[in-house]
Amino acid sequence: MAGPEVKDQYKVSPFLVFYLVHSVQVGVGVMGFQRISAKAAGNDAWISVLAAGLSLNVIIFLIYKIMMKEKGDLISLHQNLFGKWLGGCLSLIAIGYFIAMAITVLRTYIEVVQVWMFPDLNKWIFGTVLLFLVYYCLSGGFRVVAGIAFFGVVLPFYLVLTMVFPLFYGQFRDLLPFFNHSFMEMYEGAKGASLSYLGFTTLFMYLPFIKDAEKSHRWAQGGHLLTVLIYTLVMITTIAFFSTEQLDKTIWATLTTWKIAEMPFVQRFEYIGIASWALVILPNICITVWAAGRGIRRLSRISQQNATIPILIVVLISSGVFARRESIDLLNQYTSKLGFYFVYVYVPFLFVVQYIKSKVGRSG
Amino acid sequence: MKRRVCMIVCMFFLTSCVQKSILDDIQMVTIIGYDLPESDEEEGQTKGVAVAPQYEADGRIENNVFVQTAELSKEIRSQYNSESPKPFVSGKLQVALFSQDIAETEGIMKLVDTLQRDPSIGSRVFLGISGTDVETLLTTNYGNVDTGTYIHDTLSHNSRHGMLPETNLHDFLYNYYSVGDDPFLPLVVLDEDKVKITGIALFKGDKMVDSINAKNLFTFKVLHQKFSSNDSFTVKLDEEEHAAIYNIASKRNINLKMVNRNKIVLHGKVLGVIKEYSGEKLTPAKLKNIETKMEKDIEKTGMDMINKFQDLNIDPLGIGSAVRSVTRGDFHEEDWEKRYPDMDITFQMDVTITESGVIE
Repeated sequence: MAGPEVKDQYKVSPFLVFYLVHSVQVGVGVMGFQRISAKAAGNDAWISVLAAGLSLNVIIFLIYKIMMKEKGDLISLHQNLFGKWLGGCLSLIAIGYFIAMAITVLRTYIEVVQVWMFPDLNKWIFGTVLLFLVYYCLSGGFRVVAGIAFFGVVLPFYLVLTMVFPLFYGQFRDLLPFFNHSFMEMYEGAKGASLSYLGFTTLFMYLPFIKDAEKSHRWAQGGHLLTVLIYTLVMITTIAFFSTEQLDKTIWATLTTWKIAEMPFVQRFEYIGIASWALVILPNICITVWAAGRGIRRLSRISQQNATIPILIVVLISSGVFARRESIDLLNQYTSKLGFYFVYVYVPFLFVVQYIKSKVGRSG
Repeated sequence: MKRRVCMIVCMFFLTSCVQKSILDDIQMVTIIGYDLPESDEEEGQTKGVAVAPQYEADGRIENNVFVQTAELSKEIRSQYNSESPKPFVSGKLQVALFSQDIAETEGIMKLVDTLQRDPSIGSRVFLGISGTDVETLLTTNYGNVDTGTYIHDTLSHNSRHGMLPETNLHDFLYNYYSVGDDPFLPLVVLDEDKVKITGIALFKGDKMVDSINAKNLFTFKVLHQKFSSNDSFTVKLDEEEHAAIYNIASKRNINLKMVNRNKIVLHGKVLGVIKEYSGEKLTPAKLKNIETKMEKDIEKTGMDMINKFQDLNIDPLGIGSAVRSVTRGDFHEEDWEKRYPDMDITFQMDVTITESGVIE
């Protein structure tokens, strides 16, 4: 199967990949990844976060290597490597994974709004409204999705500044001694941080939509590096701000640090922060649902427009089903685990298979 | 067309669909106090006193006081609601006070828990211990002000540039949960028609075990944290001669090089100016004299304090956490607690007086 033909008018500039990668990574994870990571790695968690981030630079490199050879997307890659049926099945799993990410993001965000702002918020109505907005964006095609990604990064970027408030209360002694945890503990910590890094695998789906895809490689790396930088700084601030056991009890550490923010015009900053977060969430859901829809369109004869609505309904219903903290936590854990193996095991596996296949193909 | 319809539908739905709280229709609690119940039959319960200001049209501020007793503090809140014409909200809470009785016997963590759990309560809420009966303290009229703001401002300016070290909900929780730190909170009493800070209450876990008098707070602050404030220290040279030194900047260093030999040296450093002097003339020799005297005085009160902390096995200075930061491998809290009382902790003070005012 050949790669998809995308007309030039539907393509976007390579630099937008920076925003596409960064915005799909920064989502609900950053609100509370610190606790999960610090559970194992303690005060060295920031090293875990940094290491996990930098290792993913290699994975992005691999993705580009694979895609530059394939000149297509994940669907065509699967078919070329594994044949029609097995490849199709793997593609379906990948689509399921993208949908699961959208569900996780939506449900976690609704939970945050319910816990922090409006306990009586109706998740069905809120979810429907948000997904209407997503549909509106998606109906404009990939160019609009890329635009939303751009705004989803630029507009709420001021939130980075709020990390200044906890610094005044930071006990930086907490970071010492460095490297006081075993390799296994650090690895567990890195695994815990991985949910917040996931999502860039959507690259597999939208690379055909980038003009001069090859040129976008450094933008993808750059977008990811920005995420790594932000996460590491957030992690360092969090470790300094909370004591270890206190962090262990704090579900949304980032939001709790906002409780210390004091501004003359607003008593509780979380209200502004969480509301702004809707802009961070929007590109997240848009990109993942777009990737899933695109996958279905490439696998079958259903048009992407027609595929989108059922996906959104699935996202809405399944995110509504999760009602309790524990089940949402479980959802996060499973998506995180799935994503972890996707990037660290499956992507290198694809690379190796493609490499072997190309060697064998040439000799045979 | 399809898009336009979609957008209009979105706009329709993007309006609020949750309960709203209009400012005039709610009781905003600004201060809450907890005490043990008076009668014995209510044992195991907690008495909660909440004050909600009401702003009248003519500029008067009326403080509505609600007193209820129940087992859980949220239960107390629902009882308040039963006797109030407007629903209670806690988003504007500024101070939470605990009576000394409750802090010494039951501990305050189960009450702090609700403050910590409630997302609408900020981390900057001041916590404090009341030496006077909480109900009396909160029903007293402090003039045409809202009681919560009044007590909050008293605590806030004193911890920003006065004698108190910084203590709010976040600091308390940080120290409570931290390994090798014990929390402390300001201690207030009712002084006729004013609220007076008499010192700080020291905690072991969440129970109050001792207190430090206000006049020793300067030393405590030097020992505890880096600070700069308007707090002053009086040096008595002899019967007639006094000097008041204002602190400009102070620093604390913990020397942990000899921690393996159970020896810790604390270095305090104060940069000060003389604001008041009752003697004849301030000669350089006199200044030197004042510096040495001040060093001696602070070292003495500081050492007394440290010895007291060791006797009680509490660590409000965070020495344990400093030791943790240089310990490789696991830091065991129990081991540390066994070691701490027998540690040889010394305190060295260094005072530099930079200015002596605008006259010689």
